[in-house]
Amino acid sequence: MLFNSWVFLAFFAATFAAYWVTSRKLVLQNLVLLIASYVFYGWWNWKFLGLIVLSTAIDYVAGLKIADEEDDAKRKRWVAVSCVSNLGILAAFKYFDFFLGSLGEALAMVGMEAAMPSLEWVLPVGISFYTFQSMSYSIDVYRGETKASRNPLDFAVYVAFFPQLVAGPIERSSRFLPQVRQKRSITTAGLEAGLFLVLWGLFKKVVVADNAAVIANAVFDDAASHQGMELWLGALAFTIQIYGDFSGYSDIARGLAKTMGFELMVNFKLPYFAVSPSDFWRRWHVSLSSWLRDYLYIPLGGNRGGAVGTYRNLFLTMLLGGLWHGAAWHFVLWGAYHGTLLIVFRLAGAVRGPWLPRKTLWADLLRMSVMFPLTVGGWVLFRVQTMADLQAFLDGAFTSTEAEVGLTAVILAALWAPVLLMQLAQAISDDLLVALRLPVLLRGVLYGLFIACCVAFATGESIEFIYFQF
Amino acid sequence: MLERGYEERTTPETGPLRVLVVIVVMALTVLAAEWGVGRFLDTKGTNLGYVYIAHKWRVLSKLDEPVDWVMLGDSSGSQGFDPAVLEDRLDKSAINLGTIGNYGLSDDLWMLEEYIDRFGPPEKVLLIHVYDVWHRRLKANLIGRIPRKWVLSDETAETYDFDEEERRDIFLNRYVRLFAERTSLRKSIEYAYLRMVSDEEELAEIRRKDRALPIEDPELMDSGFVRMCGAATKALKRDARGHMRFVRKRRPRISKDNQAALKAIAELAREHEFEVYVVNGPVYERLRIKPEFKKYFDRQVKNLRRFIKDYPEVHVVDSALGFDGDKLQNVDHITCEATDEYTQWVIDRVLAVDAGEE
Repeated sequence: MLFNSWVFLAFFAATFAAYWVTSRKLVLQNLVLLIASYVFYGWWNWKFLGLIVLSTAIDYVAGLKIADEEDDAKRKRWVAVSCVSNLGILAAFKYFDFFLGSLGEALAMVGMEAAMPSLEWVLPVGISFYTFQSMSYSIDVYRGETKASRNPLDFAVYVAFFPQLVAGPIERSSRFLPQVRQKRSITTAGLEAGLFLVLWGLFKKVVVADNAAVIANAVFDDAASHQGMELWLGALAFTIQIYGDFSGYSDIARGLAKTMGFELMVNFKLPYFAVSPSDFWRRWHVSLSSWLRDYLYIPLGGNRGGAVGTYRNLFLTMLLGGLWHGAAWHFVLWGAYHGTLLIVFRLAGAVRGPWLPRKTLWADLLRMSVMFPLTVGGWVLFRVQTMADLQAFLDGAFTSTEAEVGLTAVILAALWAPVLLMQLAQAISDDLLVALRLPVLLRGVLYGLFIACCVAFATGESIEFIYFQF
Repeated sequence: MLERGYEERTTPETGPLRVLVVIVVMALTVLAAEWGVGRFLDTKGTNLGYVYIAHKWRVLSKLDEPVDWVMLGDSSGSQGFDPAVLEDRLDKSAINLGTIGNYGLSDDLWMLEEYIDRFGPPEKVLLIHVYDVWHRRLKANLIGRIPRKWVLSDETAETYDFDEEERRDIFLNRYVRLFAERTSLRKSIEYAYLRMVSDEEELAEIRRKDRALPIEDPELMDSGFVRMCGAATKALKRDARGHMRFVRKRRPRISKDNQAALKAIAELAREHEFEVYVVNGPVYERLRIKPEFKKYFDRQVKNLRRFIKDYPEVHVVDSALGFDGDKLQNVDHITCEATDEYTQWVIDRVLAVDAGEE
């Protein structure tokens, strides 16, 4: 069930009505949320509901055991049970075929042909998100950062909350579980903020991302037939697409949650305004990058092991972060690319000389104009499907273009202009909800325009969000 | 500044009334956008079919006095029959209400009913259609573009045997053009941009390459006549091949919808005592002389005559006027240089019928 579909609209209307009706009884309200969340997930494929229930059950028990156990070794064992189970589910469904397939190819390259087994299982939607969310709970309980949930209903809602179940934000238990436990109220402020976020998110998805996708797909699906500027415009189109798609999803998720009185993490903070790779990762998919920082980078040693150790940890974290996005080498390469960027910029910072600009607006603009093309380059690695596609892209990228690209550039500019305008307002006001400061009539007009554009510029059937596949 | 914009700071000052105002203004904005887009597509759209439909119904609604001849039919007649020529020759007034072929005769009937309701019967009614219109069924989505209340009625759906999906299409085309015509809207915006940035030569080249764009911008006259100039040889040849395939494969017939509409028009003619002339639109001469075409055409005329044999008020002209490629935009749409010749020919045929020569 996609957010940008009529089915979802009907589903949410029914869920919201039930949620409202049960607002006096928290248990009933949470039950409504859980049932709705399982229906939402089961709508795609009910057979995989078992995986969510399994992951929920394991971490619920693990959390209780970790909280109640006094022996640290046993507590660690339960953390291991949680991690191994969640990562095991993830490995079986997402990485098994990839690793064995790659091993088979590597063996074949050295002349050792071997028939590798493959599972060929369908990848359950959102598996990377909810396993990470569920697993982090056990770790947080062990660390003492969150209290173990003693109510299975509350915990099940935390794992399966439908607005963020399949594509995040990956919520932390310390932030989200208290919201599940507390009585929530539906307020007009929450409804309006939610309305804005849902409509703005839909606009970014349906108008910006899906239309940019038409250009990006035309280029990347047949990179060998395109040259120079055509390829770079394709890369730029994907840059716009992935931001519109993913930040759009996050905004809709956050908006839906707000209407029901929940607060989800801000997942995108004007990422293309980033002035350095580390700044980019503070702004892009914040819930994942902070997850990787807290549960991978810091446990690996963070920056406590000297320069070399820090660089190694950064690189490994980004490499695994790339792999999290998908079982394919181009994602690994994308992770490695960002790991390298982080290291290079860190090195440059360490040897800061007079040639490096100081922090002024102009200096930031200069740094942004360096960072943005590097980000676009990274998206090329992300978007290609195979290494052969990447080769084709690189072969043509630095040749001259014969085709007329003016109209494509204008379409991309037109798609990006409203997003840029909103972002400039957000940056200048230092407020992501700046649109809510508009007079009430203007807000109505703005929302009406979002709807009209979504209706008029929809590309056709509802298109799945990119991050569903991760 | 670039490192700002990290947080959500505003909690909107709001209350039930404010939320209500936001929702009402939002709904009004959507309605305004729907209306504005409709106007844009009706006047500047690249889908000329919809431009013509809107134009012809506008001409009919603005008509303030009766005319002698009412021309109905498809775009071949819309672009072929010029009321000014009739006026010059016979001092008779006329109105050109030809729209597009995919309506078949259905919108001929609706327009005629509208005309008679307001002005009484005209002296003569011309039905100018291309030979391959007669077999076509009415497309549901087109009904939505007719500016009349009854298009969504159960009776209409029953008459045309529309299923649920077709009724949905009618609704969308009537009330949600933002969605139903979004492809046209995109193309029209793109075209408007290209017109802005291209010189005439470049624009002609773009139009030549992109078949979704009109060959040129039509001149919409107050009489309903659509003036289009400039031949299109390449498009003509492609179109002619398609027509040859058509006449080879198909047997001539009159669709259920067209039979119903023609019968209703004939009944009106009998009731209000006016004459109806069924005339073929202009046609590419090289196609007209092909034996396969002649065979198809003659059989179609026979079918029509058989069908209206009980209505002496309805006459079927049994010939077609051919044109060379330099006067055509496709097989059945003439350029402005040929409209005088075609209109004169139509008048000749009507007069010949009246004189009992045809």
